[in-house]
Amino acid sequence: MPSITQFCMREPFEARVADDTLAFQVFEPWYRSLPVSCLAGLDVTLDGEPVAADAVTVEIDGVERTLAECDAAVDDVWFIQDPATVRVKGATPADQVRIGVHMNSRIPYIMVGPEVALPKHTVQEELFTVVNA
Amino acid sequence: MIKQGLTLYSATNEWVTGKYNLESIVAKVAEAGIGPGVEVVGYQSLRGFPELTPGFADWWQNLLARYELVPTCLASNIDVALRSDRLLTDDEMTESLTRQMKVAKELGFGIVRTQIGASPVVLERVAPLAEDWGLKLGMELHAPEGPRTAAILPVRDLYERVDSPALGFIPDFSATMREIPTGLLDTLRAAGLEERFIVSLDEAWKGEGAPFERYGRWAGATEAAGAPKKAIQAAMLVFTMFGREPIESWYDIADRIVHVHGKCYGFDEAGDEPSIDYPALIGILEDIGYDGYISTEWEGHSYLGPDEADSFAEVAKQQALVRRIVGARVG
Repeated sequence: MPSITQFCMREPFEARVADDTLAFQVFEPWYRSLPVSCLAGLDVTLDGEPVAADAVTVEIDGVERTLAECDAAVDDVWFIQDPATVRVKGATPADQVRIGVHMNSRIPYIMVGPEVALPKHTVQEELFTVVNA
Repeated sequence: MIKQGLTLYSATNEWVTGKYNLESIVAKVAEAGIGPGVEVVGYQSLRGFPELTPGFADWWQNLLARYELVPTCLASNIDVALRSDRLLTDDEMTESLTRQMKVAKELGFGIVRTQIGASPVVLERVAPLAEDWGLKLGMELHAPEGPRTAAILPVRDLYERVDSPALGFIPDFSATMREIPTGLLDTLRAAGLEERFIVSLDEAWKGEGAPFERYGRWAGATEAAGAPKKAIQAAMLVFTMFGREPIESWYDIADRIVHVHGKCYGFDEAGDEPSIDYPALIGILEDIGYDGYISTEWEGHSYLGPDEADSFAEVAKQQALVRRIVGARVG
């Protein structure tokens, strides 16, 4: 198995459906905590189908935001040991679903060009068991 | 005198997967006998960093005292690209580093690790405060940089000009390596890189030129010869993580070394680190009369997963090796 920092989803792959919404956990694919504003991309697919960005939220340390709202959260930090909860509104798969995530984390202290920080792309797809809450 | 300890970054696998909290990982360090020095990456080990909750500083200092451990170095990061629309200004960077220095002071760390991201302007501004607070700022010299590389020479010039006792360097042994770690080569083999390309990779890594030139030449030839693209991309970190700077270049900054990162990746059956010339490095530190800690920094976790190695055991092997070398020289 490669470095743990190559993964944004971990076993057990269990998702929950409640209130017309699918929820599952993601992890920071890095070795240190990053500012919430550095979550630069969070593309989700369900059984291979892309999910519209406005249907996706991410809850970090008790605060639920859209990806666009994360951009402004420069004072909040996603602690490296905490999972975040991704919610997909309107998705109610039964039994099993293949969840794909493409997370782009901006590594804010490693510059790869005069104005460009290192982008860390983490792409993973796993078969989740769905539990109806 | 050389003193020993570790950075908790060595246990990234155990930490990131939540196997330990701060209290239990400190207890584990004491139990494994791999202190007494304890270094932390602020943004890795401390929840809410760089803010501290009331009472945390006392709790932390008591925790270390209970286990007879010593806080050595707080590794800082300046998140210059915190915002998506612009980089931090010099004022904001200064404020960020100052906050992290304050945490170091409150938690009993005498040294703050800085990185190249701390610009000359920022370092010059915070140096007087570091002096007031009794802190040393050590810029980490880590692969692909070294004491003589183009990015570091201006920092040395700044240090000469400002001449503050608070400004120093932290050599990281990754800058001056002798072999590519075998564990990393195994992951490239697993990614589909044939043995002939492993051989040419080793030759390219040991060849002349800047790291990215060496990689570029090897990658171009290897792709043309039909090796899988993913494995070629994965091999880039060989050139960025493992430096080929001359080992004697550490002498250039001898009087500014405030702390040391004892980088290591793996050990053979005799307890030696094949990729890093520990006898030579310890010899240099003794030669210059280095008086401070070597923080063991096992970084095999950059290619080994949580179930593939025991980070604490690897740290212990590095410390045994250092003791063996020091003992042999004394004896």
